Amino acid sequence: MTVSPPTEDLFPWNDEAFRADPHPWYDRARQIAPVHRTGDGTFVVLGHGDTMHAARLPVMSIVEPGWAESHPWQIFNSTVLSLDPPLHTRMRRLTNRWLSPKSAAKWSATTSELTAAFLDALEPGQVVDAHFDIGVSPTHITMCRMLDMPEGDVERIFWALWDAMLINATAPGHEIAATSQAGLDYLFAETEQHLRAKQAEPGVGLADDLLAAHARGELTWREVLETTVILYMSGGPNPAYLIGSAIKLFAERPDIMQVYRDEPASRENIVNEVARLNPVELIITRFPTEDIDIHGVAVPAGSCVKFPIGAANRDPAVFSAPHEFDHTRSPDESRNLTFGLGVHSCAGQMLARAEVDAVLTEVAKRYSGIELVSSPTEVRTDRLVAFEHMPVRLLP
Amino acid sequence: MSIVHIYYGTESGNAEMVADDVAEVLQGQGLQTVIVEMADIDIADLADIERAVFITSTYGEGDLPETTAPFHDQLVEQRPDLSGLSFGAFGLGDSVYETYNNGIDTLRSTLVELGARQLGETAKHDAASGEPATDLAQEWATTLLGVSA
Repeated sequence: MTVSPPTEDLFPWNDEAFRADPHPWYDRARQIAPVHRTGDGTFVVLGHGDTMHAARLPVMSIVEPGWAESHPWQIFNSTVLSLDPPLHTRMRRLTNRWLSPKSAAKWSATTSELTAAFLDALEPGQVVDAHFDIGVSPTHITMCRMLDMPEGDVERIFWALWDAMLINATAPGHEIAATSQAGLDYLFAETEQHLRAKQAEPGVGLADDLLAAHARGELTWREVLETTVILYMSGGPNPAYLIGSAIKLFAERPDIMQVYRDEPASRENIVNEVARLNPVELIITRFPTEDIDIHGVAVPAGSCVKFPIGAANRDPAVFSAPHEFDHTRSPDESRNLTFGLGVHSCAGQMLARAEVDAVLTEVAKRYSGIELVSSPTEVRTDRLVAFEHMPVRLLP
Repeated sequence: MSIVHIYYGTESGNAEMVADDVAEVLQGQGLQTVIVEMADIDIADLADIERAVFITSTYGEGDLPETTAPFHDQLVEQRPDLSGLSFGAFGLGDSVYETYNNGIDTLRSTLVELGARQLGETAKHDAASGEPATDLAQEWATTLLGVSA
């Protein structure tokens, strides 16, 4: 197979319209070829099957090659975000027990309690921010309980992470490094302060497990700190986007909200379909350590390969009517990449799925419908999306 | 009536869920069950166990997961006589990998080598199928001990 001629306009990563809805671009690019090479030598893979196969190959490293410029996100170089096996395995195993399906079910009860307490305190007709009040807040606090750390300034933590992650855009611009660094500085300072307090007065959480491993000489301070920051900062934002997306869906499709309420067996499929259509992290990036072949295209070692999650999740070769919500898809037609894949698949995905279900169940069982008071607002780069506000009225 | 010991070894916790599913089915058949993580098995006790179910995933390139590996290492080192043991074997894997379900095959052959007798077929759940492991676990467990009768 021949590679399409190098071209930039197929993937205008910084274009506002592309960021707002990249799917028309992905659909057009897919019609031309399943794998593209852009002008800067980056390869872009659009197919679900190609992504499922190639992104998880052991030679597909998450470690940036030597040619990559230094950037603030390298502050996480001691974590699962920046390591390949076997170093990755060692770090990932620190959290496995806490994030297992069984543990997730247990901790999602906390999410249910927090959501129920919030909803039960509302005045009739009161406008709530479905993004922050029932998305970010209960899930962030659940993670804090698991860590056994104070919840801190939840809104500030949310935006500090958003700022920090701006640097991961394909072409973030020079001024972004300082914004990103400031967000990271805040997250690290807050977390380190909590960890130091826990050293003086240990608790019973995941963070205490990490501190105990440090005390035994099994983890460096840096490893404890970086891993705790990741958990502390990401416990809210990622499930919150799925919760917000589901609430928006419930407002637009009262029939789906009714199914959620009346047919508990459908809930897992509904959450999964919301996840398929609304990935939070938008691109998986890998660097092959050997020359490889993706769908007949030769990809040299050290190249940057991008797998847009939204493109794979809406590949018409796998998903019929790919842009449509349909929770009745078969298992073959429901496997999506929103939580990544392979060794780097999201460690917290069982918790996130359970938390989303916990919040939606509390909402669906109390209310007959949801009204969007105004259009939800989002913030986006080509790599990441979050809601900014989603004012809604919950209807009795 | 003898107790059925259900041993699981896991990386991300899915084998633990299968252990619960299998236990539920066997309890429904009037059997007593005990669920133990493989990392907590005392090898010296294993020779006295008559019926067990072993459940493990595969990690990475065909390796044993975090809590199966130390158990398997001890089996290989201590080589207990397991001729009194009958066991069922359930694996979790992903057929996208060439080493799909290597983990349970490795464990199963070691158990057989040590004299244990396998009941029924090895169940292999494939994550790539998109089907829930629970469904296969329940279906498999329902007939597992019927095979030995």
